[in-house]
Amino acid sequence: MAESSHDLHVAQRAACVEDLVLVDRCLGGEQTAARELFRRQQGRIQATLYRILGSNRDMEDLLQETFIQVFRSLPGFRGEARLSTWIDRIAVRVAYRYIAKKPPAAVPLELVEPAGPGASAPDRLASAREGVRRFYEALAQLSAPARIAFALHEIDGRSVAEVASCTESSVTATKVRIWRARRALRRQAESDPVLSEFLSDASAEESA
Amino acid sequence: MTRLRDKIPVEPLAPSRVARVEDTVLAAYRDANLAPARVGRTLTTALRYLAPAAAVCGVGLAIYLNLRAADRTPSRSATVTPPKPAVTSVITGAGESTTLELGDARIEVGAETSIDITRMAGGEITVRLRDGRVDCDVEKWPGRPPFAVRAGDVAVTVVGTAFSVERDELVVVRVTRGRVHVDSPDGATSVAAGEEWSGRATRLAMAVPPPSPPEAEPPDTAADIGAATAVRAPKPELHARAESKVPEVPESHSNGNEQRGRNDRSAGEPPSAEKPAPEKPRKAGGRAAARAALPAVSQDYLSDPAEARKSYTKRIGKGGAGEREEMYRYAYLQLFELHDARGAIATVKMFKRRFRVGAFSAFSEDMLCLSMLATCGDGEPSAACRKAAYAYLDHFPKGKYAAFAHEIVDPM
Repeated sequence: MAESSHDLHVAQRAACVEDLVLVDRCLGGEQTAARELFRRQQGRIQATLYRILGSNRDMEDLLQETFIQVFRSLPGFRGEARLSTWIDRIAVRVAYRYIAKKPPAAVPLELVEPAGPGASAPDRLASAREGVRRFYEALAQLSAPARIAFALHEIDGRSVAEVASCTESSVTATKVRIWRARRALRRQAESDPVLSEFLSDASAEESA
Repeated sequence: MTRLRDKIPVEPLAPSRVARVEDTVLAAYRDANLAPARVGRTLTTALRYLAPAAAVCGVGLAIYLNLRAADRTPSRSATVTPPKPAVTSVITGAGESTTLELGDARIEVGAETSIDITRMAGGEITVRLRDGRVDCDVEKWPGRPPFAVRAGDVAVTVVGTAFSVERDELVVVRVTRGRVHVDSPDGATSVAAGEEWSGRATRLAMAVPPPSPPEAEPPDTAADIGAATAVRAPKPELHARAESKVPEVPESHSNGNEQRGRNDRSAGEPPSAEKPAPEKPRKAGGRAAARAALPAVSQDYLSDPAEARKSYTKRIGKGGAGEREEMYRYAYLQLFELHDARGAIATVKMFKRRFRVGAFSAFSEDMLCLSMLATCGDGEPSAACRKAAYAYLDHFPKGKYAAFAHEIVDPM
């Protein structure tokens, strides 16, 4: 047990060294290093942005903006956190600016019946997609900090402490934001059967 | 609600879109010219952070850095590449051949051969063989960016070897040194020294009919025609060897043979952007150079302007990062193929309204250059022309078209 813990510790430190060497190579103007950094991190950034913003036609622009910010800010990377954590913070800031700039989308008025137990597979798929869409529309009604905290914690599965670190806020404030977001979504779900079903499925799976 | 993660799977961007973002970001990174200001500081932080493991990691790091230093010399030379993918076309006539040097790779272009050479931002070189024969000698060193020859569907990739590719009805690959990797619709295979591979290229590349300029074409216009056929200004490291068998031609492009003019430019004559001929008027030379430096627009997009116009009109306005490039292509097409300067200016204005203009905004510099080219004629610069030049200089005072802009705002 102690040995595996030691190995993990060594592996983490080796990863830190690797990060720092990569950053130094980037700052030395090595194009291959910049490319390596891009390729290592782009999947992670895409996932983070997607979890916060959902399916989005501006995703390509946002990914580009994030990396440009990353390369601009590289001289400020001090190696106190993992490079991936540091990059996550930048991605969150980019997402925050995007949400703050864009007005919340209007919630459509059409009513879609949730797919019942006897519904066919395509119907269920369509219903699931509609559920995701409604869910992100409901998220769009939240404040940017609440939305980001909720998305990173509940959708991306990060711990509260990690979310607090990414959003550069305290653990207490993060907890409050997540709680407020949950409350707002629950209220929204009361008047939206599709969203209600989407969230209840998730809760049922969790409790199971 | 932790299972929300499973219910909302991430839809990744298409690889082509990620590749486009990668190219844009890396070009912006290189253009920003970040100085290695804190190499020492980072390493100090690392040592402080890793104090308990310093003895072990320090040795490993030192070995690693030494290995990196050994690799750096060649890889830095490879990074002296054009900021955006640069395409150079070379076409040789009957009985003509030439030798090109691209860093430490040498390409002998046989007679009656047509090739496009693309140098990517990372140093990768792709030779697209439309017809004829090329003999390549590629020096091998660790970490070398890939060098590839594509003949239709057949791709030959190497990292250090000597080989030839001949394309007629069949594609024939002969290896004289080292080993190459051949990828074709029939499958991938490896060809060693002394071996030969042949196969059919199922998708024939579109032949580029070289436009024939009129007899008394002025030098600028001739250069413009060259640019309109997706011929980009050759980079300094791309030059003909002394023993080039291509006959010397006069500096002027008005000799009536566009094929030869393009070949000669690619084969070593400095383009007007790098060394303008002293007898040329300064402004005219700057205009041609600015145009030659614009990013290439594929020949496919220029072959049928009317159809392309319809296509662009349909696609523009759909949103996304690709729209910048579409708008650039559309403005390019309007200005140089449809000769619709007002339309091009309108497209540039639309671009400026939709996207932020600046060093990190892809194609914004090129769009501002197109705006200058659209508004400025050959005579005295008009107010609109000067305004376009000032707009360019405001955003890109040291940009790649700055010389042209300075000539407009500060004529001799």
